Amino acid sequence: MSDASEGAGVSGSDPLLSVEGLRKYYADDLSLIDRVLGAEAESVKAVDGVSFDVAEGETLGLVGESGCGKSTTGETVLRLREATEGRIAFDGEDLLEMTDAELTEFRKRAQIVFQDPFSSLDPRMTAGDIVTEGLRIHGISDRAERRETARDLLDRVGLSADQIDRYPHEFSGGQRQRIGIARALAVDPEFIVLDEPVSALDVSVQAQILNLLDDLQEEFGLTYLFIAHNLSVVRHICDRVAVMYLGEIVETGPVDEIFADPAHPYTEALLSSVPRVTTEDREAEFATLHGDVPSPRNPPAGCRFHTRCPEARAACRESSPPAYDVGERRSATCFRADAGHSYWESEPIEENARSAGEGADD
Amino acid sequence: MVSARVIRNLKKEFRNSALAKIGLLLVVGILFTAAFAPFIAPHDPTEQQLDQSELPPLGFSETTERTTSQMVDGEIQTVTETVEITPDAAHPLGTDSLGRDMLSRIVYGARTSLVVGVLGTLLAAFVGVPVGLFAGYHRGNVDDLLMRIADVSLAFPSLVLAVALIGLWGRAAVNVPDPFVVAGFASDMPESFVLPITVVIVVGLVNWVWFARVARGEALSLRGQEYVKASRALGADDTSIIWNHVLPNAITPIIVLATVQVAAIILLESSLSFLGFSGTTLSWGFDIAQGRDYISSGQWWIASLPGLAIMFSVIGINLLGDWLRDSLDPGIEGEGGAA
Amino acid sequence: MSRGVRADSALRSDDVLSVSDLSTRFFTEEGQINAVESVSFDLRDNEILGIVGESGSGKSVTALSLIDLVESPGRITEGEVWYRNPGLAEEFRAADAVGVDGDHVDLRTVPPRLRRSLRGPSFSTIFQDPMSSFNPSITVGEQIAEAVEVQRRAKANPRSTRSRTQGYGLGQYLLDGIVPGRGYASEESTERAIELLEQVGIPDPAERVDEYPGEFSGGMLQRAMIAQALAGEPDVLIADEPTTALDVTIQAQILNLLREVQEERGMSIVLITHDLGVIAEMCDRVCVMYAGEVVERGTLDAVFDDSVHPYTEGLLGSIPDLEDPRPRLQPIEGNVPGLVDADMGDRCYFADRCPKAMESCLEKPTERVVDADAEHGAKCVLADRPYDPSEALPEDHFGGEAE
Repeated sequence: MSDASEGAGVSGSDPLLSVEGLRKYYADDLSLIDRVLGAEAESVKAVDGVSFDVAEGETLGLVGESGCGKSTTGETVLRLREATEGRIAFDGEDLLEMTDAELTEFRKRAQIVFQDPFSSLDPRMTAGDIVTEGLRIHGISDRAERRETARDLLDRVGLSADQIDRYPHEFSGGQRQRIGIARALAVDPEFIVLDEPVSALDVSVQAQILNLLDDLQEEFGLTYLFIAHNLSVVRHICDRVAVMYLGEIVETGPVDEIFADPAHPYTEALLSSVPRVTTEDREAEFATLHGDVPSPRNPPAGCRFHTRCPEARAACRESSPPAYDVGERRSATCFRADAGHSYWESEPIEENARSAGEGADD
Repeated sequence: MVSARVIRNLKKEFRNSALAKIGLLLVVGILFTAAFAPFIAPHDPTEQQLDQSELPPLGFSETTERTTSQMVDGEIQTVTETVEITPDAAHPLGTDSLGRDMLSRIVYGARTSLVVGVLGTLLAAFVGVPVGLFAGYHRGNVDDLLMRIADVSLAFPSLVLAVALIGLWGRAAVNVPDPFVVAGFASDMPESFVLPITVVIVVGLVNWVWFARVARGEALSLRGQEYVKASRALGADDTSIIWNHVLPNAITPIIVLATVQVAAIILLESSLSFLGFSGTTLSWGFDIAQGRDYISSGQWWIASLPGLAIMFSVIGINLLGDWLRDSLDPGIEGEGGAA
Repeated sequence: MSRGVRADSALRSDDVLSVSDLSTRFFTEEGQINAVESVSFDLRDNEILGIVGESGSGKSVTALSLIDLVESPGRITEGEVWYRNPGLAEEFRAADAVGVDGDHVDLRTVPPRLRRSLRGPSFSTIFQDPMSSFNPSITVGEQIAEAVEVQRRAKANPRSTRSRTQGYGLGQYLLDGIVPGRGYASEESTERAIELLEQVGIPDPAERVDEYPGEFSGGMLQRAMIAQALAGEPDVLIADEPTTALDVTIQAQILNLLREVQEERGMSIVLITHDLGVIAEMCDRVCVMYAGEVVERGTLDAVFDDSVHPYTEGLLGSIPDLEDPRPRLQPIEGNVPGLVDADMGDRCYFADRCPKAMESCLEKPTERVVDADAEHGAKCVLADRPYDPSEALPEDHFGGEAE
């Protein structure tokens, strides 16, 4: 434990970002008439009680299928969306209580890189203007200095400084993503949310960007929250991983341990669904899940995963499991982690193991 | 804001489209006419020459029955004779019922139409675009309220609204001195030109809704763009995001709408003049209103020549708008990327 | 004819499809774009052939070229597409204009209308985005029944396209709008549609047949598209990125389904994807495409484990491995070329990004046989001789071209 003399400095064990019980509900947009008639807005529980920490210098992967709330989580922890409930602490400060001035300061310390290299750059701005937008907003340095910074940054992310006056459409997808990374780096942040930064790229370019992100992390001591659906990429770049399903984190822990020995049936299913790039031991069939992800508008009662879970038993319908510790800094929200739980005595839900899809229609 | 790519596209579309060429020719012709009206018009458009009234345009002759009364032997005799009125080369497009030169009136009428069209459009855009961008960017209650107001004013017939507003405020018009005449060129031309302020305000207020709706639609789709989110993540406030990211990317459909609006406002101005609300007597619409009574008695040119002028300018501006739309539309630009 | 990796140049009797020297060009305002250039491959009975490449490699245009769906300004400029169909071969054996070889017919030479009539009963396609492949305002069942109906009518009158679409013109469409229930599909076809939906694993098919595409999830819709493709009982199923838009667990379901229908029906599948994992799990043989060319092809083991072309090696090195943590990735530097004819030059297209580019790469390589048994071929000089650093091109040979 750090002692008091460290003062404001961040101690090794304090997380840089700490999220507790974060919820983000979207209410349906009701029309004026509906409101007059007193209709109740139905809410989509995009993020429903998510807690995690990101330690300084580490990369936490947030992984899950589309609609699980991982991108919403990423944007909410940067206050690009307002949280419905919960606590977000950045470097010990409560993010949701920040004043406008404090928030402006925070924006220099935490940045984001988006997935789509096409819609993430303003088509009417030059590469140089895009990269230095943050400096302009915060009134850092004058025009000439900013231009110099832009050249340095472009160079740093593997572009040529001569490309400073080009427009986004003159760049390829991978190059645009580099510009997006340079824009985030310009304000010298400590923390970057990477929202599927390589999903839209070709594999060869994807590898270039992943290597670049690795290098930058080392050089600038960055902390990453890496949001992805591609497990191989997560495996490659992350230190720890949190697996999300229907707005909740179902399992979290060090990436090596989780990938070697998943504790939650969902993690296991995700891993077994990934096609392996190897010619050895091809199997006749992927072991995967049945059915579709239920709607977050009306998530299943009990454990949210019980409608698709091959291991589901009657107990999973009745109550939702808490997060059980399953190792150091590792937890899983599944009754199977508790050897003494009444789950083991209850009846298996038969149809999950057999028929395709039927369980999904709850 | 205008990149080299846009200019290249404008050129390419212009080369490929005969309609764009016609449009540009018409619009440049009208602009030129309006600007240099004192030099182009052969006569003072307001000068009345009663002895030369109702002359037909060149190439047409008109027979009319003229009734004269004479004192013959202490009695008044009414003699009706059929006379042929031949056109006069001094009035190539004929004259109206008060003997004013039609060509000069049409040349000067272009000024009124263009000034009202352009100023009215600018006013409409200045009101409508900020409202629309603000509503679309912020959504929620602000958006609901502003768009309901817009819906209501859209549902209200624009002409009725214009008439009501003029009824409320009266007809205000400003005399703007004609620089050429003041400077001593073309001294026989009218010294000033009447700008119907009320009409400009009315058409602006009637048409802002179109700009608001288009701007709102663009803002709604642009606010979800990741570069807008990125800008917020960098700490930009809403106003600067709207100014730096939303407006520049919404400008293309707004420009195109503006060209359509200029044409629509010219038509609205004509309707208002036709009804006598404009405060100027030098306007295509006013002439149509005047000439209306003479169509049945054979003097077709008094109403139909200004009508043709309106038609050609509206066609010209619309063709120009189509050209702008086609060359600014990124969809068309993307055609090459088939592979 | 460059059958390259084959010992003999004759068509094999188990080739369902044999493509040779197929080229497709797009004639755009920016110039001629060589989307597909001299592509050759064979599709055997009962196999899944993978075509893998990055975006812009020409893999999707290759698929469209097979079924003659290339749209203007694109055109197939060259090549032969031999399709095995004894009936057709017999019919055209006497015709001079049509290429016939044993049981195979060259589809490039048959009348376009006939080519069109083969879509459905001979070739079916499934695309990446199921949402845009269905008409949102017609029920899924009706759209599948329509495909069934087309096939039924085709069987009754195999050589006419008109009879199949008879009564389904604009007039019929307008009439349908006014008088409901005058559907094109018969009751029988609807029954068959339900059967097909059941076969592709859609729960409660009898109810879902009346739902609209918007009521289906992405994975379900992809299943429905497969059902539609199966309606004509095709010999060849062309699957163009069938799982790219889907989540990994749903992707696994769809891949399982494809494998299942392939085995059950004994058809052949051309699987086009950018995902090497999907290729490795699914395919028997594989073609790697780059810049419009097939740069390497052969059995899966040959191409993945004994790859010769540096591009194939580069692709494999670019992928993070799920099993093996944290080796530094070996990406291919630079970007995919633009394929504009004027910029392409007459060299190996990969030379500017290739870590092993040599002097001889400035000459366009032909396809060389690496291992005839594995039908392994590569368009690379490294198939003949090892890399010689003394012949390496200087690093700045291609100037700023790469980035």
